[in-house]
Amino acid sequence: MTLADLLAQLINGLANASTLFLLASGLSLIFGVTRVVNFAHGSLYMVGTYGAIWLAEHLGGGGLGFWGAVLIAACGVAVLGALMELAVLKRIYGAPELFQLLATFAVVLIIKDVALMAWGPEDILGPRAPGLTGAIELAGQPIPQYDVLLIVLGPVVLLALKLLLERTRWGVLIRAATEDREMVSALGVNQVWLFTGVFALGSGLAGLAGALQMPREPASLGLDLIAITDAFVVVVVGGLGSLGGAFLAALVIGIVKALCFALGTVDLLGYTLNFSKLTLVVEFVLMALTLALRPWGFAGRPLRGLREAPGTIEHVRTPARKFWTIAMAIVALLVLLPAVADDYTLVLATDCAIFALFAASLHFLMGPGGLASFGHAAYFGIGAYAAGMLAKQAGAPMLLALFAAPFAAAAFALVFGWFCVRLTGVYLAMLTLAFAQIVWSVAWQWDDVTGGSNGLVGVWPAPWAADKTHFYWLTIVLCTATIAILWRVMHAPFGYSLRAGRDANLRADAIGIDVKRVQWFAFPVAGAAAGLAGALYVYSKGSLAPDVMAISRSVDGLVMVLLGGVQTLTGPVVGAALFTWLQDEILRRTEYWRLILGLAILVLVLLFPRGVVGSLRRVVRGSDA
Amino acid sequence: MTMPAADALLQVTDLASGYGRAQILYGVGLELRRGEVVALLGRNGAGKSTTLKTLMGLVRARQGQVTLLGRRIEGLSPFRICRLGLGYVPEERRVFAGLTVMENLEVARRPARTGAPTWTPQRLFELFPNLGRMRERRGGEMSGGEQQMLTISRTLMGNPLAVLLDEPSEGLAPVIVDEMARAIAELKREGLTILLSEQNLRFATAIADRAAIIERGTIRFTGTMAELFANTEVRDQYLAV
Repeated sequence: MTLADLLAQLINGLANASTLFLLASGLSLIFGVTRVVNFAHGSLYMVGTYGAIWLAEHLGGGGLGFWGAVLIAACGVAVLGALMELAVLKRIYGAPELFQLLATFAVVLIIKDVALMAWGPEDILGPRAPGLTGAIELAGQPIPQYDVLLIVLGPVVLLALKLLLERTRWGVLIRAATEDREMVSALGVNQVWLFTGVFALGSGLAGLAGALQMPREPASLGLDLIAITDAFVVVVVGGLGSLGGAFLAALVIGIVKALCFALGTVDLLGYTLNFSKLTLVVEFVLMALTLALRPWGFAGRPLRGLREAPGTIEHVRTPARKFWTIAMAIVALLVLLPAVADDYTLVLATDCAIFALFAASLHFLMGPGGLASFGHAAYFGIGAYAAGMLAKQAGAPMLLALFAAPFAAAAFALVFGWFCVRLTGVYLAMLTLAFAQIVWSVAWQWDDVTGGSNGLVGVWPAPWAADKTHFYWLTIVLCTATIAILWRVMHAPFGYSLRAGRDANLRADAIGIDVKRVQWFAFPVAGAAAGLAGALYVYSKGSLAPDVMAISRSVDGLVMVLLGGVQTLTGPVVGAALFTWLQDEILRRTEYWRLILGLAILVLVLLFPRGVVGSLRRVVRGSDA
Repeated sequence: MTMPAADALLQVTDLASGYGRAQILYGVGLELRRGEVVALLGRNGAGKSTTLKTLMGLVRARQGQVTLLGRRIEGLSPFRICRLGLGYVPEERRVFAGLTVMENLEVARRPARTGAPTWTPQRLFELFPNLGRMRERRGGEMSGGEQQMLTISRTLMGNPLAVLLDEPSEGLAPVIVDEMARAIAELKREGLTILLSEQNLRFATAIADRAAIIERGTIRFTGTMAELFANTEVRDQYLAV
């Protein structure tokens, strides 16, 4: 590596940092005022890129066409964000924050398929900026003019936002609303328009970031999740709600990534380290380190009021005898299912059972624990890989692999959990996501052990379980038993302590419950259950790839839990079955399954803001609040 | 039930509200005439703060009517109630900690209103000279007394017809309590109508024209301060500590 290479990579990294900052500042503004974690922010960025490329084609060439496209795309995305706020989020500001999250997931799904319809599945290359296609000579190294423009733009936008927030009445109102929305309202400010305005501004920044990337990066349908995770990392590392912090974090991440590219492969003490491979994961390592050392990021402060208000917490009742009768009847029906079902239905039912267990394990953290895990797929994946590697690399029999997988997942959960419980709320969620991404990238890159991106193939069940019906029975028995154990733990003193820590952290502490420790131990319990689900999944499919623990799997898990309702254990189980069945059902009929699913989730969220099971329970019992 | 007086500014009838399953107010009835100070007295947990919050729309009214200048306001959102002329000063003060004194005032600024005193930062600094000396100080860096002055000033920036003052003397040093009493008396001279929730009987006596006593979510006594002092039975039953 020469110094000139380093310089070139550094400039590229700084240019990336600028767009990253634009993207993240929008997310930070929106979260600060509305307390909505907008998962669709990355989708808005993606629409910005696609929209700008499409507009640039239709507006014709020249500087006017290019810059006109960038501006119109940014404004269009701002309008889109405002519409999303007006049509969806405005109706559910009163709902628990996880429901708002679910609604924004639905928007992610919808936008992805609308983009697929409008622009097709192929990546689209954008035009270069007219007049800025050349390079500036710096230390003998050509520096693209466009990169220089972006590097300048970052600080300019930071300054403009600072002035807006500190020197205008609107900015003062926004800062006040970030602290205490209710008080702002009692002082005569209509927060409805304030919120819509903030959404428009934040979305516009995402759109601008996406549009500006058009000459540097092709538009693709994967941009949404990449952008949202990048934005989350920047916002969390910088400290929620701090624009300066976000700017610093974007710079640090941009530079560190650039360094990894520049270093390339390095021989160190006899080991060959490939730094460029690290770029997939370096930002997550950085986030994990930052959160472990500075729990609120570079410039953030502890958050107030992120947990649900006490009024929304459901009481836990010991179920009536009738419940047990019904539960036993359902299990009996499930066991008898092969008598009437064909192989296709059995495979689908096996999937439903596996994901029901996965969702139940996530619910164990989210419901009683109040610990929102955004990276739960990690434990599913670790269980899957543990089983797959034991079977392929060590030739272990199926039962041994199924037995060992939960222990492997629990061991990792014990380590990750130790770090996670030091944080709360969104910070905790982001750290779980970081760990999941780290595990995912290890599986993706460690070819010799995990099979890399190809994964492992030929992991088949033992002969006695090879039959679809037999494997289905095995799955039902293991999943039902594990869910029953989770239920039992929830209703044991451990579960009560967990809930006490969730509802009244300090008071639980004061009566002698070591809240952090209880929360910590919840991780391996949930991890083990997810690990078993993962192991069963490998044997049901016969193969596995790093996909089993991609972000989208974690997102699926969240959707399942929230769809069913987080208050009861029945909720996630029903949600998982419903989700898996819906996905399969729609997938058979149309390639736009995400659109249908997204719309279905939106309708469900707007109609049942407590999840399907939670809302049904209220209907059955009658509204009493 | 007495007929509403001709000069009634705020009329509250049979108001019920609460949080979740817990009902706090059971049919509160109150009347606030233009230019008077009414003290809402009662013990901890009697429902004073909940009454004020329900009037302001921060807690949903489950039953009853609230009329401001002949207009029904129960069920409106807080910002509409504020714009119609009702100001609210919360017990916990709730100043914006990251905003300066001037910015805190700016948040609440509303146009002048006929029939109500008009306030500017300059006039407020005459009322509370201490505040004028710390215009650029952030809310989070002020003492409790200074925050109390700021939260009252902030509400006044909306030029309200009537102000709901929730325990302005709570947790303040005696010398600051005296200054608060002086300022509230000054506001009354300006023609502001005030509903003052208090536990401090001495403080209330110094400034209120009439008193209403609340206990377990219902009004148990209404009358002038003189009537309250004459009625030893009521005083012993509801106010004795």
